[in-house]
This record gives sequence, structure tokens and C-alpha cells, in this order.
Amino acid sequence: MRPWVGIAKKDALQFFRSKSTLFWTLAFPLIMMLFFSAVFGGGEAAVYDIAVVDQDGGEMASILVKALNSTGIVAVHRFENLEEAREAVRLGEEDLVGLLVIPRGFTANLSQGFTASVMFYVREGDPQVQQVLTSFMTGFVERFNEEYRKRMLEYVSAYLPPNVSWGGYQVSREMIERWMLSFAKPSNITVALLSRREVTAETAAYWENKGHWVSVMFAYSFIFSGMVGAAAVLAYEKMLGGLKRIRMSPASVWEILAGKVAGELLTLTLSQIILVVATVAILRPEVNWSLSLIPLILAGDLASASLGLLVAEASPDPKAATEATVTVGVLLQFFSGMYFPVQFLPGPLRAFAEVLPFTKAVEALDGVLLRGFTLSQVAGPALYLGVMAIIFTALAVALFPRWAREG
Amino acid sequence: MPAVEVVDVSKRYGDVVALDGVILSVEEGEVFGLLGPNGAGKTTLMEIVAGLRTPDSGKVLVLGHDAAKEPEEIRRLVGFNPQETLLYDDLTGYENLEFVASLFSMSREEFKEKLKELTELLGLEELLKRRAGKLSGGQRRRLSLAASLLHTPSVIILDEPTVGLDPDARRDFWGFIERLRGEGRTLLISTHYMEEADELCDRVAIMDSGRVVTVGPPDELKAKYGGLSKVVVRVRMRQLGRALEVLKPFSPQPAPEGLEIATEDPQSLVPDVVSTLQSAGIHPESVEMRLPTLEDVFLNLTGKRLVEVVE
Repeated sequence: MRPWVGIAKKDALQFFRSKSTLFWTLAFPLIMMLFFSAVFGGGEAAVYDIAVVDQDGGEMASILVKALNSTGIVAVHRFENLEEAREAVRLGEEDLVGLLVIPRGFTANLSQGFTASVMFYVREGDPQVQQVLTSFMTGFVERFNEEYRKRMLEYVSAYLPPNVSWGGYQVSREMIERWMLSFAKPSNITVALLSRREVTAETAAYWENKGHWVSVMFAYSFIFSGMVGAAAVLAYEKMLGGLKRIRMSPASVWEILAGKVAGELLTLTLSQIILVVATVAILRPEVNWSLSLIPLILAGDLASASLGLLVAEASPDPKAATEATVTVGVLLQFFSGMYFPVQFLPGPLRAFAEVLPFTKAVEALDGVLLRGFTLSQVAGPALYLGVMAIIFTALAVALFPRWAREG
Repeated sequence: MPAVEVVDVSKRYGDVVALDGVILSVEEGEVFGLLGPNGAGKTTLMEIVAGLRTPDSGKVLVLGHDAAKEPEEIRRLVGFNPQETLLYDDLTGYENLEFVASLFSMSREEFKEKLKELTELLGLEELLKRRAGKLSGGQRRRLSLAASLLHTPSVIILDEPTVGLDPDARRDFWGFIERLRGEGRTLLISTHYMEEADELCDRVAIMDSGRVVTVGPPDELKAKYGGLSKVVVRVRMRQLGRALEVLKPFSPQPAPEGLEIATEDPQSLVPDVVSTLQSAGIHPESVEMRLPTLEDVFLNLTGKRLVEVVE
């Protein structure tokens, strides 16, 4: 057996034999999930109710509304009068959280080759809902444009000859199509906030969304099995003399590091499987299982584990390292959007929460699991998480030889 | 070629001098003892030989390999059993040993074969299935020793191997050392128990304050630095004055345990002392011969009693 395999196996055995570790990494988050689900009851996956005022009444406006309604993300409520619709959204009647206005001339503009605009208002309140709806509507209009451009080009291309002579150059039909595509901007969307007159508590909605608990379980495992776990594995190795035993062997520093990382990722993955399977079995949430989750989870695993390694390596005292990560871990779960949206936090705390990789992980995982977003649609938080993972890993690797030598 | 060669090695920890120009040579197949109080530098020296620390100056060669330049090779050649048992309490004896085997990249077959051999040598049968945290001190020592011997090292370093063991367990441990000696292994043992060094070691280095005070076979050191043997006579308190008077020709000295008479030939002196006392009507409670010990050697060379320093 290679040294790194032996180290990883040993660390995994220790993880699953420690009763306190099992309680804090597996039992505790499930207890939390059961507790909050019982208190706030169970809702289904979020569907956002939006008002639509079609001032255009044309064919393209009708197609747009029909397509919007079929996404499953929003439920369309038609209004004839713009003012009535605005009022209904402001007051949150029928759970309305947004208003789409399709202005007169939308169909005409599109068919005559001009840019057609729509207006979308989001009700002020839950910042997460605002964010999700804004991203969704922007993405939807972009997708609508794509479809429209494709169809228009198919129509126009039929009239183009295979090759055109232009200024002495031969230009192919494909080149003309690409050129036309780059200029086409059939429609755009403007998003604005619509103030509410009444502020209603929307935190409960956060708890009620069963699918969100899947994200919470991943985030919890990042913090406790990942960050705290990795710090503890290194700290205890040093405190209890295991590192001395390892250093008495010919295993190289890099083999030791590989073993530690492999062991950590193994225990992290196993605990994630246990937590997520238990959550799905208990709550039966409707979530979108997508391959986009894999890079997000890997980035989260790597960022959290390497952050834990980094704390243990940089700390002069192994005991202090574990105590610090446990304390920080307990606090971080309240600042990472696991239990309530980070936008609810006061200014400085919110700013702190928004730079945490765990917050970005929850944001990206919620996007994929709850809204069915692709990786490109959660590119912001995903990229941030990935960059953090790379930075933490690079630092942890750089400091590891010094830590190992001082064992 | 010496198994271990320590050439003018020095090591400091801040202001504390742990080793000060140590020179030693341990021959292959030899059981070599480092005798000295806590703080003499024995552990630091052993850790340097095992490749766990680097000296500030000087050089250590193990079977011709430089410990500073080839630490990985040194760790393959050396089996170091430190004072602490370094076992994972939540793993079984078997899992602990399997883990150590993986650190030396041993194949499953090699491990099984070696485990069988060590189980017989050290009586590990019962320990393999139990968690290390549930084992007694002596059992942990045996398991830890097995971990150090698993990769069949040529040089075995044992740092205070019997500290904390009861007398029976200590005797058992000496038996293991004798078996290893029988296999022709080179052993470097540190201890502050004189009788242990006397019993086990072919040669002993006496260390104090980071320096090697002297090196040699225990008997040679005792003969050279141990001073005279003693005959210790115990009589009843009321006869003490009279005994001192009749034994005057032997120059007795009062001591806490009785009257001490220094001599080069204790065996011839005992009958003379007994007959002198009896002819004066004194019946001694006991007459004992005390030969010089390594404790006497340490006292005579350093001016300190080893036991006091250890305490």
C-alpha cells in the first residue's frame, strides 16, 4: 500500500470512529434540518407569481408570455390595467413578486427589424427573490432572443446565394449569417424595483423551500467536515504524535499531503452523501440534479478543506487551531445564507458574509438545485468559489512542508 | 564499517545546548547504551541518528549513509521507537501496524509475513484485535516496538523503552532485546536505569549535559571509574560503637545502611569481618558485598548522583 493511501484510509477510519465527530458533522445538521422543517412546515419548490400586462397584444407578445408560463419557474397572472397590476404587486396580492410589461409596438418592432423592449419590475423585499427573478428574467429574454434570431436567419438565409461577390471578395453565406447575427438584438429588458407598502416576513419562505436544505447540507459539510475536519486532522496528528510516527518513515512530505487531502476529501464526500441522501429521503424535495453540481461541490470541498489545512498550518499551536476553526465554523453557518438570506444581515456583517466562499457555494447550489440554472448562469459565485479554492489550496500546499518538518 | 557513526555533533535549542561535540561509534551487531539523566541529550542524539532532526554541526552516518543528505534512506535503515508509544487510540493494534506498513510501502504479503513473525516475537496475538486506547502500558509498548520493527530495520533505536513499566514487564522487555541481539541486530538504547544498561549493553556511553563523558563496556567502566567495592555490615544499634571499635583495622565508615568498608577484594574480606565480629561477641544482622555500579561511575565522573538528577 502506498503511504498516501494508508494515510487517507487511517484518517477516514478515525473520522468514522469518533463519536463526537459523527455527531457534529452528521447528526447535528440533520437534527437542525428536522427541527426547522417541523417548525416552518413543508412547501414545494418555489414558483414565483408574476403579473403580466400585455399592452402590445401582438403575436410575438403572446408567444413570449406563453413561453414564460411554460418554464415552471414563474406563474403568470394577466392584468389589463398597468396601474392595477403595479398596485397588486406592491401589496403582494396573490403572492405576486414581479411585473412584466410588454409595451405597445413590441411585435411590430421585432418584425420590422428594430429592437423591442420589455420592462420588468421586481417587488422590493426579499433580496434573494429579487436576485433570482432578475437573473431568471434576463436569462429568459436572452434565450427568447436566441430563438428568434435563429428563426429569422433561417428565413433570410433561404434568399441568400451560396457566395456573394463584395468589393472584389467572395463572401460565403455562413459569413454573412455570422455577421448578421452579431448585429441582431431583437429585444432587451429593463429591470426596476417596485416598492412595497407593507413589509412582510419572508424568512419563512426560505425555510419552507425543501430543496434549499440540500444546499444547506452541502454548505454544512463544507464548514464542518471540510474546514473544521481538515484543521482537526492536522492538529491532532501533531498533538498526539502521529506526525512523528509518519516522519519516522521514508514517506515524502508530498505523499503525506496527498494522503491528508485524499482522506479529507473521502470523509467529506461520504458525509455529504449521507447528509444529502438523508435529506432527500426525509423531505423529498423537488430539486434539479444536474451535472453542474459536480464542479460546484468539488470547488466547495477543495476550498473548505484547504482553508482548514491552512489554519492548522499557520497556527503556532495545534490546539488553538482546532478551537479557532470550531468557533469560526459555528459562527460561519449563520453568515453563509444557510439559515436566512445574507441580505438580511446589517451592513458590515453582510459585506463579510458576501466574501465567504460558503455564501457563494450556497448561492450557486441554490441556483442549480432550485432554479435549474446551468453553470454559466451561476458563473459569478461559481467562479468566486473556484478562485478561492485555488488560492487556499496553493497557500496550504506552500505551507505544508514547514508544518510537516516541525512535527 | 560502524553501524552508526556520530562525528562531532552539536545541537542547540535557543540558549540551551542539547548536544556539545558528541563523538560516538556503534559497531554492527552491538547493543549500545546511552546512559544519563533527563536533559543529558540522549533523545536529541537518537532523533538526529533517526533522521528526525538535523544537527547544527557535525555529521551522522548510518551504515555509511549521511543522515543529513539521505534522510529517507536513513529512515528505511533505522527503526526508531520513541519514548511515547505514538499509537492511534481509536484504531486496533492491527490497523495501527497496517498503517505503519503503508508508510514503508510494504505489500500486503510482506506485511502479513512480518506481522506473523512479530506476533510470535512480541506476543501480539491478543493486541491486534483491540483498540490501542484500551491496551495497558506494557501492551502499548510492545505494539509500538512492533511498529518500529515492521520494516526490518538494520539499526534499532529504543528511547527509554522501559519507562513506566512494572518490574515483570521490564524483564519481559529485556527478553525481547536479547532475542533481537540474537538475530545480530544493532541496537542503540537510551536509559537512565543503570541495571538495565548493565544487563543489556555491550558498551555504554555515559552522557551528561549534552556531552559524552566516557564510553566503554560496563564492566570496564566500573573497574576504571567505579571505585572500590564495599562490604556493608548491619549490627544492632546498641552494638554499633563496639563494632566500630573491633573493625577499626578495616577502616569502617558509618553510613545510613550500616558500616561500609571499602576494599578491592570483598570476597576475601567478608569472612575476616564476620570472624572479627563474632570473636568480639557481636552477631551481625547482615553482611553484604556491594560491587561498583554504573551509578558509581556516573557519580565519580560527574560529581552527581544519577538517581537524584533523574528525580
